[in-house]
Amino acid sequence: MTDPILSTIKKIPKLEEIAPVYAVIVMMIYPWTLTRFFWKLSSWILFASVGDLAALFAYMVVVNLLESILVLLVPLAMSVVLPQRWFYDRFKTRSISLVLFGLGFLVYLDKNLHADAPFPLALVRWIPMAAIAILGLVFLVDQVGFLRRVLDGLANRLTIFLYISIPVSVIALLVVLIRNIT
Amino acid sequence: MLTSCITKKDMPDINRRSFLKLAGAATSAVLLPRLVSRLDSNLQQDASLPNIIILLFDAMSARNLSVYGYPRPTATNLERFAARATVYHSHSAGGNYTIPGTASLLTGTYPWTHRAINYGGQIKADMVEDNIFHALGKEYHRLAFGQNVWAQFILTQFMANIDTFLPSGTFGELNYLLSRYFPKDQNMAARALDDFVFKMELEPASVIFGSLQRSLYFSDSGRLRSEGYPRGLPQDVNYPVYFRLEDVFDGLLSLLQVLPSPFFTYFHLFPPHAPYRASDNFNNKFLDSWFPVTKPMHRLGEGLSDLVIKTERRYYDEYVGSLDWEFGRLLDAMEEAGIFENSYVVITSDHGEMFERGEKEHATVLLYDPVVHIPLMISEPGQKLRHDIYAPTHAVDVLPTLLQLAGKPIPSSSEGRLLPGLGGIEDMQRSIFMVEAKNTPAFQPFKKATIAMQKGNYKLIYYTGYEPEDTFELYDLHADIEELDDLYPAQPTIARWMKAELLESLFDASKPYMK
Repeated sequence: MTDPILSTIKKIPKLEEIAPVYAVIVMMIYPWTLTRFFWKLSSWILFASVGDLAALFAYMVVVNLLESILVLLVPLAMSVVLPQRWFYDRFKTRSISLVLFGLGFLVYLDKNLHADAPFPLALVRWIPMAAIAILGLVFLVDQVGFLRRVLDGLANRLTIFLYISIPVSVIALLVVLIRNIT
Repeated sequence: MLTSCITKKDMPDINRRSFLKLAGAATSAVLLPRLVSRLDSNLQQDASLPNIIILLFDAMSARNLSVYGYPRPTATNLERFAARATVYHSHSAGGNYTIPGTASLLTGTYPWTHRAINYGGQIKADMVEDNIFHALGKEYHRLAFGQNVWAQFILTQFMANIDTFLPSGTFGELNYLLSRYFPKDQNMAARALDDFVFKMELEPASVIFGSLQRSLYFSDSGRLRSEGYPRGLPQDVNYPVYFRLEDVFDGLLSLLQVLPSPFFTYFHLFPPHAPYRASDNFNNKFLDSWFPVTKPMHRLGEGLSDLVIKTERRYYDEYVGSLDWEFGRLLDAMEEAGIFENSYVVITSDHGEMFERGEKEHATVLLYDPVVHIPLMISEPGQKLRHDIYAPTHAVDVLPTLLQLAGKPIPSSSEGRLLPGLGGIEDMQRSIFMVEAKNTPAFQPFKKATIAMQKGNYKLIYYTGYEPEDTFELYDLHADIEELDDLYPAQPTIARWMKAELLESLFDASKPYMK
């Protein structure tokens, strides 16, 4: 009988496999909000000080940090829950395509969640179908060697941005914590 | 600091009367222990001082109130209140929207001084302490409720001087604002989260949480029961908050009954700000044959048709009527509780609302009378008779007057005077200023702005930074309250004299920002 905790830990991928996946997540989540930050910047600079802008930025980054961690938990959970050969053995490629397609769908959903427009109920009703399609694509992409190599290569190159995003996120988290403790 | 929010969400389905009782009791239950414990720890409080209650209705134009002569009976309960108050007939706001108007009221300074002039703007850092909460001091229990999120932006700058702060969604039916969970950094959290990452405009600024929040909000707001409000429940136009007028007023009354004397409360209520959601007893009440004066389109207006403007005006009037009806209930309850015997009660607004010249509401660069002429009525402790004041007064006068009445020193920064009838004198030749400069950087001289100056019967409006060139308009408010006859070309002497004073005042205000 194997210890269930030990077997669970064993199914958590190595850091060098997680990092490229996280890099893809970061590159999809942070710039989305950052773009909107720059849209608002033109109105903020009319009255806000540099310190105010830094604090606004810190809150924004903390939201992105929490989002990115939450998204990363999805492939990690799948790696632990699904049979080893389904996901753990192909963690990197399948996780990258999962977050790409999954977040891509959410971005499309967000584009339709305009405050002045009616709620896109039809689109929301398609979420289960979209989820199935995304899972299908995840397993299909992994079968195509060229796509696999492209995704892996892209993700490996994106990890360089983690050297910026992680320290910035940690500093932002500290800023928000300090502002709310003192 | 009280930051918890009272909402009806997830409450069991009970009848309306029992719910209202429960809501009132719940409010008291939440607030009372905190207030009592605060009282215990604050031995400086002096019960002989009068209480001060400011009840501010956002975007309430004096021009649409029957108490100021409007032909539609929009404010019969305000008329009842006026019968025991000093009524100011020519009272002006600092600006034409919440940020400058609220900041002027609470600091006693003009917008060109406090510099809260932009959308979402803030009072400049070295003036933050010059606020009424600080000036009243710890002898008062100071409570603030900014139901309008933008009023909250200003109020949260004064958090160090506020004993009890109620965030925007308090007494709301549905409240998705997040800043309430950040009591120690409410101002920045509101700006970053409620006004940016999770703001209900365009698409969500956050891919995961933003879409999740918006989906849940759409779902919850779709399930809201809007009985009693045929046009939908009242809501904050840009933020995820729905409320019922009756719940808000019940909440206020509960607070007034438990606050330790002496207290100072600043209730900044969102209605009758758009969207105009009249209750069923006022819905379509003003489908009448009355027509306001038709005015020409203004070149800087929105260009809306008269039909749209007329309909919006009716919706506004009906919403004002609904609000007034709820105010009547509060008035009765306050009378019954004896609150008027030891309290100054101030009714006012932060800015007006306009329905003319192709423009509706107040998101405008125009400064015509309806958008800056606001109500001001002050009931003194035990006052039984009405007193009318016709001299020009301004929002900046409220702070020095209330401080004088409370026996507190008036900050040197204050640009207001004591209000006539409450220590001041009627000065018909006094100059007062209204400022619109939302597109000008707060740290620079005004490059694009509208400034209005009222002196005696005359009002000069100065448009700067707009094509084709700087322009002026001059009106005689006594003979032409509708501001239809521009006297600028016909009265060159008065125009030159007023222009010189306005430009000199603007120059003086801009000096600190000139390189």
